[in-house]
Amino acid sequence: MTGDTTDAALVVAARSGSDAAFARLVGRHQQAVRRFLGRVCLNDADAEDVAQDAFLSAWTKLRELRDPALFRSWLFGMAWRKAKTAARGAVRGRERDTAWQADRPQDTTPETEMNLALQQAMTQLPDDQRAAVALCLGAGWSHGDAAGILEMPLGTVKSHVTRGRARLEQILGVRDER
Amino acid sequence: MSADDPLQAFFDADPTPAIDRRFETEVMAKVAARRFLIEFGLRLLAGLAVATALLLAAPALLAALETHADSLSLVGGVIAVVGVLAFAGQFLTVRGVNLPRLIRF
Repeated sequence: MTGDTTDAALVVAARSGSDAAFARLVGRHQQAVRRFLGRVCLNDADAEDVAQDAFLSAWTKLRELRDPALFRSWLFGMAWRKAKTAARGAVRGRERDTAWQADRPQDTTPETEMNLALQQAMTQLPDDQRAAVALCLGAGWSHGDAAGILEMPLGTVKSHVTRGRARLEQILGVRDER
Repeated sequence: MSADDPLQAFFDADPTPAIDRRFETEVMAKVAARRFLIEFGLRLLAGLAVATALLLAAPALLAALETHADSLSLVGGVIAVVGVLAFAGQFLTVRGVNLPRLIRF
């Protein structure tokens, strides 16, 4: 096994029953998926659970993936759908979690302050808008790829990103002077 | 997106989660549990199908056995002994710890 084995090769091996191949896919994509879900779910514990569920669903439905080379975007789409489902059941726990977040000790590094400010600002966005912003501005996906992942029309994604960016800039008190 | 995009600076300040081996282990443990459930379910279904087929065929099988009891007794005995030996041999040769599936790729 080489370090530069493609996703497609790993998917084919995992479909043949290789747990080692699937474990490598998990290792390769876990950071990106957890980061995306961390921004979408608003709660670290929820994000971790949803990320695990997303990978488990990916393993279960691996044979449904038509093009193994598109594993990453397919996985993100699965993670987004899991996050939406989890969000419906998480409304009751949100007030408790928000109180916990307020009580926990705060680091004071500038990066942490910016991170917390961004997290707080992201909570102000609607779910779909937050997901589009997290993908396009936070993870560097193109609008087209994000449209595929979120199963939304391209125009809707562009609109979400534009409005989300404007809203975040307003909340954070920054303005892009381009 | 320009390098001096102030909003991008906020996203860049958001630390990338570290590679978490515990996360990988938990996912693979869930995968193993899911596989066990699937395989157990399939074997249960297969067992039920065989049992149902035997129940449905039981009258015909019993009638055939009664008709050909004398001629089948010797053959049946040999098949039974060979079957027991085959199962015992298979158990003795393949028994062991079930390891994860490390198929080369």
